[in-house]
Amino acid sequence: MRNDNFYIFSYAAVVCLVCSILLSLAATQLQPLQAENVKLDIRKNIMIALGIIKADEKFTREELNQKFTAVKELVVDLEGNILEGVKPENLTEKDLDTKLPIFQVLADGTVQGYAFPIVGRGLWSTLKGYLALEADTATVKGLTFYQHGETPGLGAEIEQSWFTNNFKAKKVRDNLGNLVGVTVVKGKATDSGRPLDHVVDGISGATITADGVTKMFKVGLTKYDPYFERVRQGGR
Amino acid sequence: MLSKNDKKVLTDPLISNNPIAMQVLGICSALAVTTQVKPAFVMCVSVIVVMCVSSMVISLLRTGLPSRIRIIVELCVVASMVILVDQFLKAFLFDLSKQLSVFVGLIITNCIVMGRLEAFALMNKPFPSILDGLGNGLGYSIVLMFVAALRELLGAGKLAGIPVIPQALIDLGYVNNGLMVLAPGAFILLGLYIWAQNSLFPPKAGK
Repeated sequence: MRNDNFYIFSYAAVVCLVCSILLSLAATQLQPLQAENVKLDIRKNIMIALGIIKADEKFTREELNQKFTAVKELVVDLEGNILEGVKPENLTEKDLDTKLPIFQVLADGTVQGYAFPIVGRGLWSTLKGYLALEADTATVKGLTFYQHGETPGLGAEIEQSWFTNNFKAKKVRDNLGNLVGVTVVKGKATDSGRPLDHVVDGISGATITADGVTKMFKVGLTKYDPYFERVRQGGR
Repeated sequence: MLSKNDKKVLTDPLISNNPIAMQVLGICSALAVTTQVKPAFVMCVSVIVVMCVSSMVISLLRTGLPSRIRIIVELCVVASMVILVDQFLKAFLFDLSKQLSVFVGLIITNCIVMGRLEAFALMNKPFPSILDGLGNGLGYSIVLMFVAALRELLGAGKLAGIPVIPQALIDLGYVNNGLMVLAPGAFILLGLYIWAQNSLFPPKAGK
């Protein structure tokens, strides 16, 4: 076997070339499928948050897209003005700092709920999910997480329905109308000694992830508050 | 169909020369993905695929492979395979790939894969190398599934997501063992497994 430098360098070059061609082929060929999966997954999560479908129900691609027609997509700016002609799916990561997507579910022409994306930090990863509020903009309608890298069995439990269902019907505003969000406590909510309207059970072994969830509620709700303030005043 | 030697290559790593229990390799993923059965299973299948294909590729390359860069080439092959598996999971098994998140990528760092390439595929023909990859992948899977099943059963009262602890028992005051969900639970189970194996099938002396 040859062991001179020229042979070694050309061998390495060929290996690199073959591997990179293979990988770029796979990446480009599978990309449309993956992008479609991600888009569908987001739509599914929005609809779960809004209560249109249940988390454990299975639907085909067409059924999901069909059901999604009940959802009205719009984009607002930080002051709560609706930006005409802007679609949520065309927003880039950078746009999301100033342009906020909102998904309304309509029935007989009246708004039944609002869903919007929330982002926060867990223990290992960025948590991304959707929070839906009832038409009164103060009661939680639903919550889902669609992206995170938390430990399976511990932090990853936040995406399970036993955890997210606890948020349903909780109030994000107190009686005076102040924004308080929903806090994930350590242990049982009933043992925390706080008003049950604003707390949910924690996950043992996942306190930092849970704190991240508490925080992302507050941050997300504060960001969207100008819009919801207008909804409360104008009934849009 | 298989020669006697081939059979030995395939079945040895299952019990008597199990990569986790006897060689104590690949512990990191055995701890990380074993809280539930489903992700552990997908992880096992992914490892088996990666091991078989990369063993075959390295075995095919073995005659021309310059020994000074062999580790880098092995790493290159394994990494490419892992990325391929990850891409396929994302395209066709999206929900499960979301559950496994970073752990599929971490197959690259699984010492069993590199270890078998170094110890076997570099010196053997492609077919026995594939068998060796398959055998070691299965040996890894046996231990992983054992630990995952016990951890999910004792830690969450479920198997593959289905509750199996009868409600009557829970009403009587049965509580899931939270330790099993945490990493130390996996350590304890893995230790017990290794102990049981060493007492039941003692390794040959002088080896």
